[in-house]
Parts: sequence; C-alpha cells; structure tokens
Amino acid sequence: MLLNAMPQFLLLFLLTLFAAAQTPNGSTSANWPHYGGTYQFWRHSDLTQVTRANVSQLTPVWAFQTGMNEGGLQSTPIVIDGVMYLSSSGNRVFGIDAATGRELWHYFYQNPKEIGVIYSPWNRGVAVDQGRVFMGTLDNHVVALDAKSGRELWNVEVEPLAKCGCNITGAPLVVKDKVIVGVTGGDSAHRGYLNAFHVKTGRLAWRFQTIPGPGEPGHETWSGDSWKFGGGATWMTGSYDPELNQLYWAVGNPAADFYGDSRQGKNLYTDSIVALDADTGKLKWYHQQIPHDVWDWDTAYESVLVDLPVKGRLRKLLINVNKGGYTFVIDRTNGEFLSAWPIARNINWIKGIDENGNLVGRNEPKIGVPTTICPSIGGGRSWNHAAYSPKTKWFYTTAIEWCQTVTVQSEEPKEGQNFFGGVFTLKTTPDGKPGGHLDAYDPVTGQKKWTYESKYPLLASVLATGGDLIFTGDPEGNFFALDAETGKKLWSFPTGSGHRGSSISYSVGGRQYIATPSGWGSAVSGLMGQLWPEAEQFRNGSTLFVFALPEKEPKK
Amino acid sequence: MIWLLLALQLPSTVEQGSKLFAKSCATGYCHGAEGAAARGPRLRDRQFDRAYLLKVTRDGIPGSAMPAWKDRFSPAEVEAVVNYIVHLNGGKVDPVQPAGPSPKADSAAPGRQLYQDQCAACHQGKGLNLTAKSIWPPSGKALQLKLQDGETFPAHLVSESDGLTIVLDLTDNPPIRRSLETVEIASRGPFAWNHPVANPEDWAKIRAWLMLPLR
Repeated sequence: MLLNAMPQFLLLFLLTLFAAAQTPNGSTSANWPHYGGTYQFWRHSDLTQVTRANVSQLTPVWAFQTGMNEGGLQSTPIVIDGVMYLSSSGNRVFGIDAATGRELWHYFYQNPKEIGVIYSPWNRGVAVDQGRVFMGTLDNHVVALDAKSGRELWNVEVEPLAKCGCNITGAPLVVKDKVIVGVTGGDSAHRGYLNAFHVKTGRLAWRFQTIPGPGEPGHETWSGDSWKFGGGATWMTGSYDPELNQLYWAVGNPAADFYGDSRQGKNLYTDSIVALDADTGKLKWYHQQIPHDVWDWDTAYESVLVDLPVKGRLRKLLINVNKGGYTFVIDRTNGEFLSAWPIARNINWIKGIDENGNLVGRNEPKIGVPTTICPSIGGGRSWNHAAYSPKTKWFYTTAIEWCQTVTVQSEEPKEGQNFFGGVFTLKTTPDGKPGGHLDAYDPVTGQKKWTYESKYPLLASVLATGGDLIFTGDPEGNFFALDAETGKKLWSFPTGSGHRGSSISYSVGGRQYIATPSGWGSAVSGLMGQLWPEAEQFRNGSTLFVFALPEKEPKK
Repeated sequence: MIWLLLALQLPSTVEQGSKLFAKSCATGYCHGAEGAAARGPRLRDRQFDRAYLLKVTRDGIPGSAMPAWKDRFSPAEVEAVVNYIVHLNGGKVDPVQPAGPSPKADSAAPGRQLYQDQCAACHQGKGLNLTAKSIWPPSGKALQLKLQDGETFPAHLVSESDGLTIVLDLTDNPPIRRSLETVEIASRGPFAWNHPVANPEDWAKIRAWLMLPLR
C-alpha cells in the first residue's frame, strides 16, 4: 500500500512545485483550508488519485448525519490535517475524523427561541485557522471555538437582530490576525457592512459600511435618506490576494429590491465588487456591475482570482458571476472592466453590456405593471459556486433558464423589517423549456467549451479535481462526475436528498476523498415548486457523504 | 390592476387581506404572489384548517422564519389575512366587518426596543417574553484580568467551574463573552467599573417595559 502510494506522492510533490512556479496557485492539496478551497476561490483540488479512468469505482466510505434537516445542508466542509469541520442548519458545528467519519466533538449554538429566523436556518460554513473555528450565527453573533474540543472561546454580538434585520449564514474568512464576516439583510431596511474581528479576542477590528455615509465619496449616489435603509448585504464569502493584501468582497442588491424610485442614483456600493485593505478595511477601489439595480441582481457570489492573458498580456483577473446571468471579468489590481459574458440563454432585463461595462437597453418594471423578467429572481445562477481548473484553464459554472412576472409596489422602509418593494411569480421561458445546465467556458472570452443539460436547476457548487473531473449534484439527489474536457457523465451516485451545498476533495494518509453535502432546502429550492410542482415533494435531508476508491486497487 | 379586478368580486375583508398579504406575506422570498410559494410554503390550493391559520398567523412558528403577526397587525387585520388565504383555497368566507386600522402602538414597545438595543447583550433573555427573573444579575464586582500572554482587560465574572472561567470582556460595548481556561489567568485586580447609564428618558421607558407583567 505504502509502496503503491509513493509514486503518487512524488508526482503530487512535483506537480505542486510546478504549479507554485505560476502565481497564484489557487488549488488545494491534502487540506481544504478555506471556504472557497483557497483564498483564490478556485474550488479546484490538485489531487490526482481519482481519475477519469477509475472514477467509476468510487465508493461511499462514510456518511455523517447532522440531525438538522430544516433548510437542507448548504455547507462547505473545511479539512485541515485529517480533521473535518462541518456546520449545518441551526448553527451546529462538528469536528470529525476525516478518514473515518467518527465525531470528535460537536457544538450546538443556542439561538434564542424568542427570535424568529430572519433569512432561514441554514449555515454555509465555518472558517478554521490558528487552532480556532469561527462561525456566524442566526441571531447575528460571531463565535470562536477551540478547534480541538469545540469549546466556545468567545461570542460577540454584531448588532441587535431586531435593529438590523440581518444575521449571518455565510462562512467567515480569516486573513492574518482577523476574521472577516459578512451579514445578510439586503432585503431588509438596513445599511449593510462587512466586519473584521480580532481572532484572539473577538473585538471589532474594522467595519466597512457598504453604503457611504454623509460626507463620504459615493454618498451622493443615494437620494434623500435612502442610504440609511439601502441594503448592500455581504452575505457570501470573499477572496483575498496575499500579494496585493487586497480583500475582495461582493456587495449585494440595494433595498427595496424592486422599488427604486425612492433611491434615485447609482446606489454605491451595492451590486459592486469592493477591494479593501485587509488590515484596515479601507476601500482601495470598486467596480459596480449594476448601477441602480431594480431586479434584485445581488452581486454577492464568489470572486475567482486567476492570472491569465488578455489580448496577449498577462493580467491579474477577478471573475464574478452575477445573479442576473452575466459573468464579469475585471482587473483585480485596479477594478478595470475587461469583459462580461452571459451564462444563461434567457436574459431580457438588458439587451447587453458594452465594451466599457455599461448596461445597454435596461428593461425596468414599473409600479403596478406586471412585467416579464428573465431570469427569475432565483438567478441566472444561484449562489452555488463555480470552479476553475488550472489544467484546462476553463471556468465551470451552472446556469438556470427561467423567467418571472414582477409587479413593483411602492414601500416605506421600517428599520430592520423586510423591504422588498414588489412581488413575483415564476414563469417558464419563451421556448417553454425551463431547466438548468452546467457549462465549461474560457473565462476571459466566455467561449463555451461544452454543456451538460439538466432537467432541473442545478443548485450545488461545482468541484474540479486534478484527475480531470468535475463533480456536482442535482435536486433529485444524484451526485455525479463529468469529464472536465468533454462534459461526459462518468459516474453517478444517488444520495437520497437533493444537493444544495459544496462538495470538496481532500486526502488523509495518501487516500483521496470526495465529500458532498446532501440535503434539500433553501429559498431558491422553495421557488422551484412554482414551475415544477413535483419539487415540493423532494425529500429533505442533511447528510455528508464521503467517497473514495476501494482500499485495494483493482488490477489494471 | 389585478388587485382592482379581484376587489370587485370579493368580500371586503378578503380585499383588505389581499392588500395586507401582498405587502407583508407575498413579499421577498416569503410565500410568493397570491401564495404561490417561495421560501415559505405554498398557501394556495391546499386544505387548511382555519383555526390553524389563525394561530400560526397570530403567534408565528417559534424558531422559524414565520413571525408572530399579532405584533404587527391588529386582530381584525390578522382575520382579514386569514380570510384571504381561505379564499385562495376556494373556501367560503363569512361576511365580517372590515378590519379597522392597527391598534395604537403598545405603550411599552419603545422600552422593549431600547432594552434590546442597550441592555440585552449582557442581560440574558431577549425578545418578547423576557421576564425580570431571567435578567442576569452581575454577581460580582468588575475585575482587571491579566492573562499569561500579557493581555489585560476589564471583565465581569460570569461563572467559574471545571477549570474554565467565563467572563464578559468589558473593553467594548457590547461586551464579548469569553471563555478562558482558568490557568490562562495570571492575575486578577480590582477595576472601578460603572454600569453604563441610559439617559433618564430612555430609562423611564425601559423601566416601564421591564415592570410589565409577563404576558
């Protein structure tokens, strides 16, 4: 066994050296240390034990039930040195032996019963660093746990929940001695922010307000007092470039989501990528994708950091998929717009995006007039993350084909309360073929390499591996592998509940594992019933499945 | 337009319920337009027990995203919304008097809000059912803690057992609850700490709310 494994180790070592020569290396190896895999958020593992040739032998080796089915399992596990850290709905955290599935400890956060759950009960992950586990909670606290025992080390309230109408469902990100945590609240009358806390003490290190206050540049992009309740949530996890010491965070939609008359202007920094000094939280630059958003297009998703040639020149890029169905490519040193390309076929809220990044032909719904908008509010893609493979140099993302009827309502903000400004009903697409797909693209030009069609929207993240494989799961509970070069399905396993989380790969003792959350739930999966009534019957769950090749390798 | 057309044929409480529903229940990712389902469950074309609808609308579902609407709607408005949901399910709605406007704001509500903003981070119990009994009494005097690694900070002792010392770190407001291994603490000295004082106007409101009997 050991002898067999040795050449693989050597190969891995050489591959790692090779990859390190090209900056940055955003691939993971034995560990899966950050929410997005690495700070660069590639969601690519360079492990090569599981390949296109042997993936058909992939076998479940253990499963772990969180016992909390409500809201499904939307998490990304973290693995460091053979220990897995998994969070679930209801702010449960588990320390697990990553090779055997044995529970080492658990921590169940006590959310106050009197407080309703603002944006539903799920949690999308923890951060682990410096012997500590960090989690945001449903009542807007941040806790630090001892990574060895799960004992709570500190607990700080970010802001009273009743005041902010927000909480924390996204995974924190640790950069040096600070843990950075975003909040929800983009559909509430709230002024968004991003917080950094000291890792050791829990004390607030800095707070970046996503909406500039009086006297600050950008404040003039909000009419009247609308800045006080303008949303701008930071609900997903950002990325970090250690070389530039820049933290990249995506800022969500303005509130009220559909009703924009009372917030005239561009509404900075909503629907923007902001680059912050990781030490001070000071703004270095921003790039706004959608000025004055009236569709709830939420620039909130992951920012993938890659270095690739653009028109013959190597550039440091940031790739971000917007909920409205476009992928934006910008220069991450200064925010310069480079290109934008669509991932969904059904987009009618604009006619296009020009070479300078300006939106062309905006289709804005008017108050009281039902208007068909594609994609639906569920997004041309949901938050479930893309992957980038340094082997193919392709970008792998899911997309959804669906539309909606939006009716805008005027609305007055009430601090901390829902502030949406309209209603919507899902509609099928003009061609009558709603559904999902997973596609491979050239990330700079958007040139499509292949497409995998799915009956239902794909709502789980994509994982790419060094074995030339792409993994994801579907709403019916199948976890499957595709050939990274052709999109051909090579393997599938029924886990019994739909997929809405983020699979990862890691290794312990030289054995490669593929882990996937299985557990149906979430806001967008709830919407699906409007177009696919059978989706209401899809079974809940909350189980982590872990796969590996059989211990004894079959003869070739 | 749709609302106007519907309104022509509906009993007035249903009409009022439909408007309240559109503003408060259909919105966002909740129950969807006309109860078509979203993050919240579908509310149309199902069979609901009216008493159940009334209870859930009034009291919410604790620990879930469903709020207790009795805090935001008058009883008549709750009835109107329930009538509208019954109507969405093809049920018959008894002709009842249209609901009046929301009752005058609960006189203790400002005190409750102030308590949540200013007190609740330290004093246990939050939300609507807080009682005087559940308020955490600062049991001892404030201390100046020095840790083995040199960090010093003022703290209130919360508990001490099994080699663990739980304190409220008073450096920032709100304080941070920290759990230390007792051996991490190098020394404890006295610290002159005064409870933050709310302005007299706020305190009067907070006290008015705290003195309310438990509902």
